[in-house]
Amino acid sequence: MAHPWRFASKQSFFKRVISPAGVPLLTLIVSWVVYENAWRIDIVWLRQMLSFLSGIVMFVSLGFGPFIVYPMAFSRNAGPAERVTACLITPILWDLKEVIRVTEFFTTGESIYYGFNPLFLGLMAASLFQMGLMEALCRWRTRWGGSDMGKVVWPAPAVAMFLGLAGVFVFLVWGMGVHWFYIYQEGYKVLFT
Amino acid sequence: MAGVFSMFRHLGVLIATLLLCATSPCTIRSAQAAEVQKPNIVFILSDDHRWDFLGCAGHPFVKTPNLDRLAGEGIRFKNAFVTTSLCSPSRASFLTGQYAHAHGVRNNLTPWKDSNVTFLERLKQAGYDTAFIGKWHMPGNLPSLRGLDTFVTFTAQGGQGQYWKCPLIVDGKETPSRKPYITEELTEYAVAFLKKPRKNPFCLYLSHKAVHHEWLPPPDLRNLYSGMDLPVPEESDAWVTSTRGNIWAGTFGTLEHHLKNYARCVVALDREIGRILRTLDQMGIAQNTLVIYAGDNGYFWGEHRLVDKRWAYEESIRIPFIVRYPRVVSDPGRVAEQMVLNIDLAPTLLEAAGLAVPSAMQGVSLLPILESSSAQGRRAWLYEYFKDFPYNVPPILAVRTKTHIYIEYGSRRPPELFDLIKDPRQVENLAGSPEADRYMPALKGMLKNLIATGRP
Repeated sequence: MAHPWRFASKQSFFKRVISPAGVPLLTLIVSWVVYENAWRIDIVWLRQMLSFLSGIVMFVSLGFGPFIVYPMAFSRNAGPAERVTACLITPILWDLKEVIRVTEFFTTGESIYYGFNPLFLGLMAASLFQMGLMEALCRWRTRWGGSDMGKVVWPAPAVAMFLGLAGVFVFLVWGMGVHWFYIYQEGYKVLFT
Repeated sequence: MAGVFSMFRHLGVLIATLLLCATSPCTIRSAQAAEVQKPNIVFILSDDHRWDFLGCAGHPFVKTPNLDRLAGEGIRFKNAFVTTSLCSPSRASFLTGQYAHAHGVRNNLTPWKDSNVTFLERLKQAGYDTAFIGKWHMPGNLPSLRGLDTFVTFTAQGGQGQYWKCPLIVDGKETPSRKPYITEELTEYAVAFLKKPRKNPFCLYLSHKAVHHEWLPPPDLRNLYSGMDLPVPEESDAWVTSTRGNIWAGTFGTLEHHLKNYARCVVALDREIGRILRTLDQMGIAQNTLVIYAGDNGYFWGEHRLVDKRWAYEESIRIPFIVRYPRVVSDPGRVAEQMVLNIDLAPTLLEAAGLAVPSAMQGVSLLPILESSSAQGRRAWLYEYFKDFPYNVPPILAVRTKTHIYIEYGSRRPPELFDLIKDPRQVENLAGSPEADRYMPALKGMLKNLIATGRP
């Protein structure tokens, strides 16, 4: 019997990985283009509304992509590594874009170090948490649909959720992000000064 | 023969005196100042306070009655600037009277050199009681500053301090905060220093954490401006605080949210400055006390789609600068037009105390401007910014005249030239235009001279 939301057979790589990953990535690209160009619009209210909304969409697609990507990849029978890859494509490409952007200000080595900034680490930690959570939810839903996927909560997603939350706390919440920022700066001093 | 020798001797003295008068007006003014009682000095430095967030500067909603009072009883410098728009370098410039390339604190990562000489050290040598109270925030360990009787500071959060319950270091000893709010706590220490029985004149350097990020106002001001629509620059938007690298200013959230808290912190700061002024009044020493209020740099709130400081645009390089010196200022309430700099503070204080200004100081005394509105100001000055990872700003060298600013970047970014009279918001870059040909050679020459000699 076909599962209500999971494909019975393995889908193509495009459908398993590229297509799910493309949802937040395309959303991010479109919202970013709108955000960066909204200021050119002369009508004030329209400009403000567009930049406000596109900004929200931009942050959501960057920060919460795995909530969409992971179940999509899961339902298309993507393997664990493929599911993780699909989820991380958007934040990693965004970070690469940022690294390239800051080569205007920093040396190549500094720019690469910039890529490991607290925001990116926090973003990766948040993605890890979301992936763990979505793995558990997907398993639960699959079981509920009649397939035997084993335990709903097992060590890997539980550890992912725990590490993800801990990472978000350390990189972004602890002292409103200030404490890790100073550790990051100390690392810079050690490496580059 | 003796009469001839006597005549030559008198003539020699006369010539020497005339030469001295002609070549060293500062020395004469210093000598004159020294004849009278040395003034007390209170220097109050705030953090990231924009020049226009003052009632007396015409701000549309922020009320600063105490700073307005200071301006009304003294002189507000309308064209005051910092030579580097960043906390640590600017603070070192205030203290030493030198550019960042000279004192060595180039950014928030390069340490303070103990060989640097501060105006506090020189005032101490001249018999002053001295206190440094508040934010030091220069890279490296806390220095053993020479010439200080009292040193109250903090190292929490990389030296930035924290608004609530900030642990202090009082004369080298870790001390818990007594008043929970840092602006009040630092004022407590300042008032205690002012009230100490003494025979000597004093110099108080009071350096607030406010109004720096994270902009946490005291409880009674948390709802101030809550229902208000704040005017924000037309080129900005709600999320400008979190995009294009602006996030490193610690501004995740909307522009309006942070801007309101910033304004609240300004009001809280003004209130505490009022306490200092009232203390001077109560002690009956206001007449002989030189009070200076300044910010360490400006701040962008969405202008140029930027947040924070560093760039060589007006919002970033301008500072509030108010001087009250009743003994010298004959026209209180004046708004001075001359361009003055953070590096002018140290020479001004030394000259006011009757001391010679060391040649190592690159600023100039402002006493002539305090004495007369027609005194000449400088015609151009050097702005410099050094790379400060991870902030998304390239190294900058710029020359700012009364009418133009010419900016060169140490990156692939092309130079910029702005006509500040026709285009005060610095929207139209004239570099490369026919108009630029008229100004660029002279401005480039000035920049070269300023870098080489400190003079345009």
